[in-house]
Amino acid sequence: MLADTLISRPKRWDTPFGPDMTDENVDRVIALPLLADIDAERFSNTLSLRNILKHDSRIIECKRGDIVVREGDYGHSVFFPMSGNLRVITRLSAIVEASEPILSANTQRGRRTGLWAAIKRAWFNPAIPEVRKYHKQGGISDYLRRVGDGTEQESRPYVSNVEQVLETCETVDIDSTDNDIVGEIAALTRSIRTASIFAETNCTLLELRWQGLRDIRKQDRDFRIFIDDRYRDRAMLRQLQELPLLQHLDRKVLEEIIKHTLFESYGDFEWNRSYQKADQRDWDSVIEKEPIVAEGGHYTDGLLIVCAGFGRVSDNLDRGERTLDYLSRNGMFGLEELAEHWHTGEEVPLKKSLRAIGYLDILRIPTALVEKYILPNLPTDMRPHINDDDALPWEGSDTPDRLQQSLIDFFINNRTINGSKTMLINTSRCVNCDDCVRACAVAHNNNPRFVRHGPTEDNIMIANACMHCVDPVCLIGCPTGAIQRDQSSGNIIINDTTCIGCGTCASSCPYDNIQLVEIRDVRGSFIHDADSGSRIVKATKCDLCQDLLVSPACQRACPHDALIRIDMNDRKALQDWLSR
Amino acid sequence: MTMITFAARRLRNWTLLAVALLLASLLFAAYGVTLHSVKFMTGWFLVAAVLVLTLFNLRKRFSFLPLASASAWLQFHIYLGLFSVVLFMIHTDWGLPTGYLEALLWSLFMIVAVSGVFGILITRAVPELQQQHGEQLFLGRIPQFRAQLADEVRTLIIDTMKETRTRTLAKFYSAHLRHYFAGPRNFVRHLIGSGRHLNGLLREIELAERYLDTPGKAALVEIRERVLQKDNLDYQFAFLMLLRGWLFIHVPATYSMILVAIVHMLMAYGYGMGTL
Repeated sequence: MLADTLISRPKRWDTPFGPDMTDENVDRVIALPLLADIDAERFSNTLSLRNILKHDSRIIECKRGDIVVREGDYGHSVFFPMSGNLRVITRLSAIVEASEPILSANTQRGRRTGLWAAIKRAWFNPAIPEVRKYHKQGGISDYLRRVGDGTEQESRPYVSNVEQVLETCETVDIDSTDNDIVGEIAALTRSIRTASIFAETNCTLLELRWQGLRDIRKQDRDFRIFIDDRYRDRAMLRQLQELPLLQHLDRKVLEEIIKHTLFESYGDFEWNRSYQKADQRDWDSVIEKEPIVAEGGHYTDGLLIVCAGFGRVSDNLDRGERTLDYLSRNGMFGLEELAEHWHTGEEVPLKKSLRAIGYLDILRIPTALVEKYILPNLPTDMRPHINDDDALPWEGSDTPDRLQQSLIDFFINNRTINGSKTMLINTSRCVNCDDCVRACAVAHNNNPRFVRHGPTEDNIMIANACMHCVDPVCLIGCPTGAIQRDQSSGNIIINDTTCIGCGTCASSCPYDNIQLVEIRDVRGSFIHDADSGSRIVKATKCDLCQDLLVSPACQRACPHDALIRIDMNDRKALQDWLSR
Repeated sequence: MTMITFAARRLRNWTLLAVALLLASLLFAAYGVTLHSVKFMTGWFLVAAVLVLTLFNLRKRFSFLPLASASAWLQFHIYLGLFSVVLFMIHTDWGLPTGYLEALLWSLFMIVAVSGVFGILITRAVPELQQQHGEQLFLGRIPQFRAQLADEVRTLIIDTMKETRTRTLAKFYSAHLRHYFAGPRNFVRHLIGSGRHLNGLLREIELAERYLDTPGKAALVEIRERVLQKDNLDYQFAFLMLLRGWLFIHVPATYSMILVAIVHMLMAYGYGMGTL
């Protein structure tokens, strides 16, 4: 019998964020004004502030013009300027957009396998499940280093004409003496970078990844408040600037609106815990538990705009709440009623209610400003349709985009609306051929990364496949950052090397789309922890075949057009597919 | 990207097929004017079409290569298949074969064509039928569900017998239920939409009820529920087997046809060079 392979169980800090965080560097960092006030006593010995900074942060040296973060990319870290100046580009000029495509277009592309490597998959995939190439003599650290060496190398993009950017674009200066941070919006909301930032001078930055930020926020209240305040102010500013409704207003008016707009948060950032506890079939209790943002029948004091998260729009029908629609980022609520009030001069109560599904950040623009600046200047195509109250209930369609009521309920109650690549299967066309599962297995060393099964409504099944969520709560608790968004595509991927198999992501995923698997060596023997003897496990899930030449394999393999990976917030694509 | 509707796609593909057939007819007519044998040309067209059609099966193994989606391939497969049927008819002068080899080739082609059309019809119709009938199931999980139901019924009968000392249920089990739950049943009846077998069994359950006391009757209600569940399993099994089974005719017949076609080609060239 072959001997089992023994390794040391991977641990949180086996692969530190930066290779050069020496004790001297940690001393240097801990003296930064923003970190100096943190009470180190609050942290446990195993998760001390020094350890967090040593393993979850790194020091970056930037030359003048280097891009620190780029709008549209995905990232999970915040930056503390230690010396030098940064510039945040709040509005790109046309001239710079043309001459510096690096700032506006995402030119990075993930590493993909070559044609020959792809062809080899058809014949040379291992017959044994979950095989990892592992060299017994080397030990896990060699394995990490070998893989790590290949992935850690990075080259930093840069702005070639700094002067031109400074002269023509709207920018905000971030000086190291300001004791400020940047990058907190993407880090906190697990979403895209909302602005590009580059080094105006040579500068040194401390980059703290999400895992460190999370743990420091948890232990130090003042630090948390500081970060959250920054997030609130900047998220609001960025969003109002990009909102189509305000695009036609001049800068001065916009500034006045920003000054008076309120930022409000409802629900819980880590909503997955309450979701998992709730019985989703008991719709009434689910709706009742959702925090009310605005209630039908009441008067509104402003226009509500969704900043992050999801909102449920419902109306009261006899004895229950009927869901009409869901709102995501940039969705608006109350515009119809405000327009009617502005039109007729009469007080108009809200016809619908808005609730937070999970968590919801909204901006509230006061009624007076909406009526003074927004409504009078609104282009015709953006003017809201005012509903006819005398219409009988069955006349017209009050369900946006004609989605079937049962499907709206189904998608919202299952939180499928969170998916940017949700796998939907039309069971009226699916012939159970399993070509999708086979294609997935071939693409992943003979290991299918989804289950062709899941909740079904009418003829639509939501299969158990990672949805690559808009709000990926699986990222929150990962101790090593192994589960992360791909910087360019935004897909949620797991770095198998740095995954320690703790299962936090799997238990956080509200949809059970992450599986823990026991890994084996090339001979088929399970890999064991040298100390405890227990089997080493890794988290696995759909990665959208991102290293393939074409992807996703499941959708491309379906001959009957039964399977699609779809963005649930692209209502037109969803409707087109459903009514195909 | 706008998603084309199935109706629009069908219209587009039928139009393309009609145009392709028209162009092919014109080409054959023009070739015939030159006093060459059109049969050789239609024959080679058929060979090419059949080879391309066969590639679809190979394509399924390479879903990770940039070779267009399987859906696009299937559409191409369907319409090129229909094109081939017309081409075959032209090649055989819309008549029946004469020799043994030709008869064999003709029969194999017909089996491939008819099974293909049958296949596409059932792949469109069966999922709808399954959905209307009850919960759709995976083929691989049906034996497990069936064993579970059989076990539940057996336990129910034994428990009731212990409680009430009924002989009716024991007799009923051995006469009707043991065989019914032991494996897939009424395959053909499900396919042709007959409910006779189920009605018969439910009638037997009704008849048995008059001999039972209250706990026995309660057990019979449970048994009736499981009989209905088993019937759905059999229904789903029959149609899932049909969905897979037609390929066991279509694919082997295709490869057999290719082999016979090669012999046919050799003979055609061996004996027919003078007509070239």
